[in-house]
Amino acid sequence: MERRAYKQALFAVRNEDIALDIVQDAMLKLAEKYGDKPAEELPMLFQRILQNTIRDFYRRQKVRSLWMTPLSALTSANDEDADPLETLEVENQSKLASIPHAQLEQSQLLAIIEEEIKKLPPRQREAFLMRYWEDMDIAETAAAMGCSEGSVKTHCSRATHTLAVALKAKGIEL
Amino acid sequence: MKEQEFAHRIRHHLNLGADGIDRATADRLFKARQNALEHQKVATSQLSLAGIGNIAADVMLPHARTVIALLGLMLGVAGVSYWNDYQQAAEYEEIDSALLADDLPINAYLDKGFHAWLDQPSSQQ
Repeated sequence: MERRAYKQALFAVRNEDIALDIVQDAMLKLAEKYGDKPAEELPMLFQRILQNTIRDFYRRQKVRSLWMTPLSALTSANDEDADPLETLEVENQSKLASIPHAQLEQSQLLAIIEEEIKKLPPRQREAFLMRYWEDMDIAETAAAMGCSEGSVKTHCSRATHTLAVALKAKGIEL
Repeated sequence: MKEQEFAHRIRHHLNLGADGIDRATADRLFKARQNALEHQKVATSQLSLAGIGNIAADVMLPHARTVIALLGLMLGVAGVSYWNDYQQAAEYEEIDSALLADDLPINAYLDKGFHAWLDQPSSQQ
């Protein structure tokens, strides 16, 4: 459970340490506040807490960026040329070089799928992951997201369509 | 391909990704889970109450806040009403004793309401 939650947080915030903190906070809140609730309610409650914790992070990030943008304008312009993806790709390639071909293909496919999931609009991603990864039904997903069941269906349908189109464009047929 | 079928294939890959999380991260997640479990809220009311008490608690506990708020409101209204009656009685007592002692301030005789009150038959007072 905590691994899937970590991945969900990672898709949203794209930072491993922050994703870990978010999952840790969400688990602690669930245990402290809802530890006495029936077991069948816990997945929905946990998802609601997790998504709220992620949204809290976005809010804090927004406030911080309001302060940081004027400050970053004062720093050296050389940093703008640096592409963090370059180092990431080199690191990934060096890791992948040591693993067999089938595993390499699998990990590349997974990386593409995860990247496309990260690109989904947040609400679509939440709905899709809760419905199809966490196995929550439409009513539970709607309760966790605080929206109508109709909205959940729409979010899921759009997310699936977007993913299918994006993967097809990269020549991937699942 | 149907939405569900496609989603389940994606799910398969996502599960592989979750299983492939590096050891250090998995350890940190496991510790976080253990830490959360140590802070788990325990359902004390359900353990301590049994039988009829348990049923009463099940029925009453969800409405406990409302019941307490209503009780507080009723106590407040009763308190205000009692205080008003007490104040009024003290006021009357003061006027009565001033009348009996012939010690009313001169302004009292100038008050139209006071004359009207004096004109009322004593049985009504």
